[in-house]
Amino acid sequence: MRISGRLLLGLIGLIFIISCGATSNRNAADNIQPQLSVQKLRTAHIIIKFRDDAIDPSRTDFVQGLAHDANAALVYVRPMSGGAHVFRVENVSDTTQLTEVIQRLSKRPDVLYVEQDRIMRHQQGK
Amino acid sequence: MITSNKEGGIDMKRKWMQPWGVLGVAILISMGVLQPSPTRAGGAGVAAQPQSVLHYDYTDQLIVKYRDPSIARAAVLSSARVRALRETAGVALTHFRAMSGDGHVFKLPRRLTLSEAAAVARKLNADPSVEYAEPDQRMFPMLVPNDPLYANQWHYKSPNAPDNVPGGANLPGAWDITTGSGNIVVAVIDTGIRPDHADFAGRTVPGYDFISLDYWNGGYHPYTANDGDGRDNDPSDPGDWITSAENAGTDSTGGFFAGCGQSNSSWHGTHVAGTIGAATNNNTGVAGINWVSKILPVRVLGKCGGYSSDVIDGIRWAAGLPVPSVPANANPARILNLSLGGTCSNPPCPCPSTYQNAINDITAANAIVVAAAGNNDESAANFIPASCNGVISVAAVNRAGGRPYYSNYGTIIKIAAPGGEQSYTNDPNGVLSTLNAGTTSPIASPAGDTYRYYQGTSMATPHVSGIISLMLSANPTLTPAQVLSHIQSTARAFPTGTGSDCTTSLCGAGIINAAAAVADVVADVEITVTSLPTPTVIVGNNLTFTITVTNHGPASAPSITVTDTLSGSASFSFVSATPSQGACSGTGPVTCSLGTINNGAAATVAVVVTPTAAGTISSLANVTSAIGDPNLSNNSSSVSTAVVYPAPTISSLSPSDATAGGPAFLLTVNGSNFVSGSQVQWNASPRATNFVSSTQLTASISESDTATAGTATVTVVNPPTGGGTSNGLTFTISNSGGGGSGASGSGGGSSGCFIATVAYGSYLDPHVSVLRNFRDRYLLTNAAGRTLVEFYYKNSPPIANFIGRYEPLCTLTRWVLTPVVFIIEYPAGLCLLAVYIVIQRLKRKRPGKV
Repeated sequence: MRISGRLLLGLIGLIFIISCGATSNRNAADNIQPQLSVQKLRTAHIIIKFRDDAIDPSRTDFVQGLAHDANAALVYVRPMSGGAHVFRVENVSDTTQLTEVIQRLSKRPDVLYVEQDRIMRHQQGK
Repeated sequence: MITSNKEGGIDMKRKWMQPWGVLGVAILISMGVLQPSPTRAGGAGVAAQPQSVLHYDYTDQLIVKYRDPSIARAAVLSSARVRALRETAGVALTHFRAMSGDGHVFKLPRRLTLSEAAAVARKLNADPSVEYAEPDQRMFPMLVPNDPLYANQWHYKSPNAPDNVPGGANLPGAWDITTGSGNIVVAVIDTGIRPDHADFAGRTVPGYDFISLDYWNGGYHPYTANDGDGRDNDPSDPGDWITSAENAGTDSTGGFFAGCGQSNSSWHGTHVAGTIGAATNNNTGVAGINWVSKILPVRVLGKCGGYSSDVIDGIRWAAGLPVPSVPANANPARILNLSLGGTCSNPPCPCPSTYQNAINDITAANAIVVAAAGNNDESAANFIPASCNGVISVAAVNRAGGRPYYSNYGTIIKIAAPGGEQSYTNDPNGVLSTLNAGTTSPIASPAGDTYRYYQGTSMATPHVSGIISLMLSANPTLTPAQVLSHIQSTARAFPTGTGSDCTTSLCGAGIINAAAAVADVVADVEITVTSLPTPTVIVGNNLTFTITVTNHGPASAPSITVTDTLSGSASFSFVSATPSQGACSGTGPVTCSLGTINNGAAATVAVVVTPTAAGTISSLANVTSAIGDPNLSNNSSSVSTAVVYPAPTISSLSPSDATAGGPAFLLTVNGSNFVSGSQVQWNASPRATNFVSSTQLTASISESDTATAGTATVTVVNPPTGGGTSNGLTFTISNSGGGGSGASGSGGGSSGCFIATVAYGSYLDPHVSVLRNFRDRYLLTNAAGRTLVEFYYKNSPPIANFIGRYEPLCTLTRWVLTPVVFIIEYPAGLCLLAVYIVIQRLKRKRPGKV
């Protein structure tokens, strides 16, 4: 029994280690995508660049389609220089939720890239 | 202040150790006039600097002092002594002048680098008769602005004496070369600026405010912009203060600024812009790095920062790229300063595609993006946009050249620059620049104008942007990749022993070195003109001015243009201008576009003229290039050549004799080197002379000249300058009846046939002989003929002179005389002509005959 008990403990330990390793690998895989920690957002803006510059992403039906794929309420804000577009994501208050929206939209075949419209700060040292 | 700039090594140390040099320099230093030659190494713990050949690395003179006082004090050295010195030196030295202190200045055969000149001097120092020999090093002014706070801007200073600031950007040496160009614009992508600050007077071009309205609680508000609206054409900074209530989320916005951190207005863009280009040398406030180029304020940051989408629109617009709903930028910037950035809280944070695409497009538009590495004391690889490809990412160094506690680091950083390191607010170990005194809203100028010390990679970045703007001012052809290469290759090595040493894996290639970076992108173009032949040229011979343009580097010199102005007291005709490369046009002046001349290469232009009168001809040549030239003193050169008349010679006279008492006649003088001002002299007395060609003159000899038998000496005198009197030939005047082959008395004998001689060019011409024989055989043998001949000899000389002045008249005269000569020689021809005319007339009287 003592041996069986040690074996059982060893098996439990092995399973624990394997499960930890699997978790660690998943985190590494997640890091390939821009991963944002939970951070409160003032206003959730995203920048989307479509493969076809000729499309008009401000069209209501187009925005509705994007919102459906994003599983979030989207509002077209404005076109950007360089052919990208700014959208506001409604009812999103932290970066985790915004990351999910970005990952869903990036799966659309007509999207070249989609990324958070990050806040920039000046770099005067304190 | 004057400094000898740089020169290191044993040779120069030896120079300063010479008694006279030491004494003189000591006096000048004590007077505050001269500073000792700084060495490349900044001092203990500083590694050797990257080598860069500057314009003051050359000299074409040596100073030599002889031990023997009698030689040393001589104004002129004997040719034997100069020859001996030449042999010792192994180069063709020439004595230039004696100088004060009993030294002598010798010219080297060409410009040598200081190390080459020192090698020649070393050979001379081995000569026991020489007390010392050393390169005659050129001195240059070290430009220092008069702004009263410049003294506190340690971050601009040199690591070398007397500044001794290891973390300084070394600007004074750069300002010696250029203080900027009005064609270069630097964009400050920031919080906007306070345009009414006295140190921005005349320093900006119209910018734009790219801060969009914020959507918050169901509506749009200018919370971030803080100026009452969204985007507009006013990039003024209204302040970016955050109140404690805003930070706490208890203000009227309902928490828009919650967590932003309570702070006074930073006037960050004003501070950054002041470093790049505050009005300088205006006896006001601080100095900026670029004194001339313009600042383009682009406002993208407001209260609590700004969106990337606004930043990206702002940087594209700044570079001249289109932005929807925004008017085109009339003043596209070559340099974009981004003292800003952001990161993600869960690294790695690759450069977002929107940023990278914008930076790629901006770089393709030939603009340069300079960005702060960030102040998080962490890897800059996770800091945006510093981590993007094509960005010159800037880390900060403190006054000692070490890494300040805040500066981000890593291999992604390209260069380090002074950003300061403060222990308390407004600590002078920060970077001093322009600011507004308002803690919230701005205070109007002048009361609101102030200056404060800040620290940060935000402060380091504008040093790099400003220095790049100087480089582009000096050489606008540089590409972004070339700029990066130059600032990295000329950067100073990081000092050690700072307590927080930078290394190339932490802080980039080194500390930016403004003087070396700017000197590395300019070209010292020299022009010289020589003439051949020299020092004189004879009228009528070609004179060639050879213009040589040499690029002494270090950069290639594009768009070389040479202008050569020919002038002087001598008249001349332009022949040709032949360049070794490129093309020339025009004759007054000659303008040649020679294209690019690489470092160390040369191009020539041969300008050929033909002088037509004595005097001088000068060639004044100037050279320009599209690249900055640190030494304008050798951009023009001139040479003057004396044009002289040749000495004439006489080979024959026609006629060579005459009968005493004969009529006036035209004497033909054959020889060489005759010019239009040549004068035939009869027994050293001038006679009316007609220039026929460089080998023939005619002169009117009067009856009185041959009134009595004897001889006369005929000479030709050419006018000054040059010229002179020819050899003399004897003209014989025989008694009447004595015969002879020359001009006969009473209109007979061999006297000249004036008009025919002029027309045919020689008394001996066969046509003239025919006419002369006709005169003797048919005219002088009867009274009517003799009257006719006498009348002719009395009146024809002035006519002949007139005809002789104009070649077309001579030709016309030949056309008229030739048929006459033909008929005289072949009278049968006249009969045949008469028969032919009669037959033709008879044929016309017989109509119907076909």
